[in-house]
Amino acid sequence: MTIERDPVLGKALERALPRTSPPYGAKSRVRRALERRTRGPEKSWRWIAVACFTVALSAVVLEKTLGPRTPVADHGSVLSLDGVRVVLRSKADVTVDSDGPSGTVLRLASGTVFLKVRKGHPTAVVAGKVRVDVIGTLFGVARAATEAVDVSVVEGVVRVKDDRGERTLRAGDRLPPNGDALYPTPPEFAALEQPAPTGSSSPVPPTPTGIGGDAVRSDGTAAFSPPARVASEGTSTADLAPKKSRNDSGAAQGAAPRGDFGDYLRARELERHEDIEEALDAYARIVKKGGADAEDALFAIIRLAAQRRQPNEALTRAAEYRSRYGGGRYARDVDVMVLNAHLTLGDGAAAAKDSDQFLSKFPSDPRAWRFHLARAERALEAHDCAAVKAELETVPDGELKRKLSAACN
Amino acid sequence: MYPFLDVFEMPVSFFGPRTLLAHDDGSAARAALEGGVALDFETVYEAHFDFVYRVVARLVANPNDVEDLTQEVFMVVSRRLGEFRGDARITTWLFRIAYRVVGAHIRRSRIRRALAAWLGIEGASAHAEAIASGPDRFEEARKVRNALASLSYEKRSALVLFEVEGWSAAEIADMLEIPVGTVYTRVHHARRAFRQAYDESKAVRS
Repeated sequence: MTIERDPVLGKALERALPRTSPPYGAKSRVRRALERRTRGPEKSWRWIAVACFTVALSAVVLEKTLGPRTPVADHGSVLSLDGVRVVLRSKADVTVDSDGPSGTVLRLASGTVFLKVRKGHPTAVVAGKVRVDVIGTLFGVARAATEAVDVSVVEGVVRVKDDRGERTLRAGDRLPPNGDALYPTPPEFAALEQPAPTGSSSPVPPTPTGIGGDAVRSDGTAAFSPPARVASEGTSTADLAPKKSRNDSGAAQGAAPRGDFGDYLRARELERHEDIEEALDAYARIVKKGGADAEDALFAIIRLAAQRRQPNEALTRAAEYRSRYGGGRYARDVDVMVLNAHLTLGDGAAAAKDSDQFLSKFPSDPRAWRFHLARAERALEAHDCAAVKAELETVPDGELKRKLSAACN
Repeated sequence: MYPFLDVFEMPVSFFGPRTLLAHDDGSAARAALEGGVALDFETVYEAHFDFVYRVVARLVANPNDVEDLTQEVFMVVSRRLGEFRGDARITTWLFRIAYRVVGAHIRRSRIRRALAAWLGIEGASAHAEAIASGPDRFEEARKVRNALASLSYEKRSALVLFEVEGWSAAEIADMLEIPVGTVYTRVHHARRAFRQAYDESKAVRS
């Protein structure tokens, strides 16, 4: 008895099944999880005992030395400290450990905070094992109940210390939870810089932007407008202000219908809740309708296609993005997506072409290391170890870099 | 938590394994065992992580479960590596563990869903609703996934390994430790059940 293969069925099944390539970082994530799970029970109990003691001792010491901590848990509120403006998001649970000339230390138990820090005001955010020291900047820290901490920088420089070591994040960098590599800051973080639109129902008037802007109005109240683009639990999207163009490319689109903004936020919320199919539906409707949010929505579709390991879909949508928006706001991010799609398809020649084009145009772009990494891999295929070494110079440490370096040793 | 976090992940290398069987190289493990050297977990993890990930991704329908189940597989491997005697290739041994781990997960998920439906926590017609929700580019893939999910684990894995991975019936029989005839029967019934479920989903849609 024999059965012939059905190629049509095979193709259809392959398209529907999850991608089989482990995502970058999966190996180290699984290893860390295994290490946590395989720790002996005796050791765990010992650690718990020590932790209890330490927590109790810390509580006493803090109480004695710093006085009562300031609980700040009002979601969506704005806090003004010495040279620091803090916007609380996503059910942020924050306490201020000290607020004075020696610096401000915020402890983030859960949720998201955005900070704008004036120069010369030492500030730190501690979220579990992660400490973020601020020099003068605008950045966000999100901490989930799972202890995962996400740091994104819009302006300036921060130093992040955790159990994996210490690293410096600059403008445009994002350190995702358990991530070994840096990623671009998502565009909505930049929306923090937008003043509240005229005629908005917000009680807070527009504020100047940029590092070192006034943190406190003359009447002593906070002068930092909540970000108009960030959706949060308990906030009606209908009440939120309409989107303002974030930079030059959006200037001509300021008159977009307000309904778009709510649609986009709803799509983002669907995505956050991992209802990806519905989110894609919503994004597709926004793109079809056009308007100010269409570019964001189209980029979201490309991003999701890349995330779902659908390189052909990502390439089709990237071509659509390029034809519609040319050098739009996400143009360079789309270049990265296209590179990844070509690599996923195993199309080394196209990936090499992508890399050459991008690096010739934007050699110092923060995303350039991805293209160097692709070229290093290509060079390894050609057994050109000198080229591999040269390409890897600008690539941050990571699993692929280590593999490629080892392959040449 | 944030589905958009990992979007810039780098994909596999240019020269990564293309199929499960192409990856199968148990020579190092065999040589180690023949030389009287015990296999250590770190070596197996480093050499076969991609293989295990790929097996799990092929056997499970939900992409969100792949990493967790890969972790489960290696938990079992860490406990039972001492039992591996080299009678089969290391990848065969890993495949069988992955097959059992994913099977147990799918059975647990089905029980949970049935219980939730019985308690009225989750609509019993969630499957039909998922199919009926708005038209989009992924509708076809969704229909295929739903039809595939309606098959038993044994039929589904036989179908995927035969049609997608391109394994022969003999290879599947060897991996799953079943007779070749059973493989043919499973593939045959799986195709019929899949087509029926797929056609039903089209009828619901229309």
